[in-house]
Amino acid sequence: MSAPVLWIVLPILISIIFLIFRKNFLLICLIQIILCLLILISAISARFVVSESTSILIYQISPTMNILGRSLIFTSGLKTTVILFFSTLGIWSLSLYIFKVRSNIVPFGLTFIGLLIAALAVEPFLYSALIIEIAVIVSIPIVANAANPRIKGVSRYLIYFTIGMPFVLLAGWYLAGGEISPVNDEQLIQATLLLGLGFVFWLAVFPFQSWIPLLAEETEPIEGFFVLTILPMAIAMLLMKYLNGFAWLRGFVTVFQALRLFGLIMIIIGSIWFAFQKTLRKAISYLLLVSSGLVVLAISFNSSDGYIFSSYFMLLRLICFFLLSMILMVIEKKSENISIDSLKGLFLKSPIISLGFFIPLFSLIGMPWTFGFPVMQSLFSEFTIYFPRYMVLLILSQIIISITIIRWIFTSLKKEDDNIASSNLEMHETIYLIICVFGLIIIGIFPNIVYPHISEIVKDLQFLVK
Amino acid sequence: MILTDWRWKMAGLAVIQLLCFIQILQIWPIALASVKLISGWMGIALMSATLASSRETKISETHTSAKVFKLMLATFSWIVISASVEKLNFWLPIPYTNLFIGLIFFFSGIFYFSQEREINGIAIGLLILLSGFDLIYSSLEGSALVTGIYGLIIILVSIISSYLQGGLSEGGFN
Repeated sequence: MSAPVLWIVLPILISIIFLIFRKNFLLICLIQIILCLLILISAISARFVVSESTSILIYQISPTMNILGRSLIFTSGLKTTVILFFSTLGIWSLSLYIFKVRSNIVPFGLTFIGLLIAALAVEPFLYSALIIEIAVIVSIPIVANAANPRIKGVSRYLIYFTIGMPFVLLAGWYLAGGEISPVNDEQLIQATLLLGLGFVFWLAVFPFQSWIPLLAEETEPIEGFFVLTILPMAIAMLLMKYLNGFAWLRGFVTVFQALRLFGLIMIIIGSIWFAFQKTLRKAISYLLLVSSGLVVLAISFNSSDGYIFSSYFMLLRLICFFLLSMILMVIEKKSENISIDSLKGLFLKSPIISLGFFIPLFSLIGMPWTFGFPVMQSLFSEFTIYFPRYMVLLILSQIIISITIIRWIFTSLKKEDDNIASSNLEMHETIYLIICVFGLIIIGIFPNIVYPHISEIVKDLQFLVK
Repeated sequence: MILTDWRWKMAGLAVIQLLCFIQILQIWPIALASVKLISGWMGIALMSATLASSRETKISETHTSAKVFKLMLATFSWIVISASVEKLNFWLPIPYTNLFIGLIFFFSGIFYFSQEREINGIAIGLLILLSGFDLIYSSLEGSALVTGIYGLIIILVSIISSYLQGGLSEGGFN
């Protein structure tokens, strides 16, 4: 058995089998959690080259699978991505199981993750645009259903990704041509323009960001944020793969200037909109935009450190938005899509939920003693060295977000009746929340437990990370 | 864009798929080109079946002024494409006819779904857009794998449209 069969084909097939047994939700949810755990262990134990280790847990596996003349190729970096994505799916499924929430993450999550990994593994990687489009379509049952009449966000999500796909495919065709024969400046600009347009649609750069808050508002937080958190990460990884794959693209300075501009726009727009939102779902969706902007900004440095920071931001994003979506799910048990004012009295009535809500927020802005601090601090110092002129914009956005969060804290400290469902938690749900919250606090105090491992994601990009 | 009855819309979409098939047939073998036609028509059949079984299917009424506006919008886009297609043909070295027809469909698709609110209308617009791009990309690259994946995308868009309209709700995912 090869790695693509084990980590792409098998999850997709099992997901299809799960569809037959979907009425036994808790059972297939439990199987999905176990499956994610097995994939996690198999990925940690797998070696693509002959290993000298005598451990029975270490085994060798073929990294390649050929389909119709194309290949799915795994590298050690992609293996780390498999670990990251499947552990995310596993923990999301575990939350669904513990809180007994029915969701189409089980079983569509397996297909969605499998397809995202396939998009990153396919060679020639021009075909990844098509696989991303399929992943987007497969993710729609996760975020929408026929019973929910609100489909504005879903429609825009589908439309923007479908419009983006032709541009990325055409750019890929141009760039592949450039690898065979020399290209002139005009062709380079055309290819860059096409690629830029494609990624602008995919990464939700202003003014094409409207689908993110709409989707967050229309869907259940645990479902909507699952897709909104993971998909842009896969897109960012794909962007880095494009930059690594084409010499004349990474040698073109304008590409990185454009990425810097996109990143800054996403951060500024996201932080300003975040401050003026009245509902929690929409506000947090704008934080997702800021988080994507930070990843793009880190890539725009075009330095080894920048690419490694981008992988750190991805991990930060996964952990923080997982906890935020879970907390939103808990506090929205009584009423859907609650306003910021509903936070009144939350801290006094449910300190654990409040901690679970505010610690990820503080981590995202890089407060000291939180998980986000080392990476934000490194980004700031890198930014000060290379682009001091733009520093003020980055600081401004962080100030706006910080003030808004502090305002929310004051709201939660007010003595009011807790009108949200925080007090209705069962014992096992409370214990699970406490573990998650304290887990985030501990990795905030000891960030080196996880950060060095996650940089493996970008280590394979041999032309970018030296 | 000016049709109101869903049956006519679907018939129009089927004609677009047929036109694309005829164009692609001139550069590709019939077996490979047929995949696109079959997948396109399968998608149309699926959407039609959902619309036919929908209890709330109604024929939307459109004012004459709206129809005139839509026609003028389409005409304007055609004029812009006609004016710029030669320059674009320099960028994309493919047969002029394919590029012209492909761009017409591509932008018509965008105009179509930009005026629609219902998911089936948006899906029709997306299928028109995808047909247009397919015509352009097929002229650039002939690959069995791309054809297969593209056909799958078209069918999936149709399935999602049916799913969101509740066509799959009987024994569906929820």
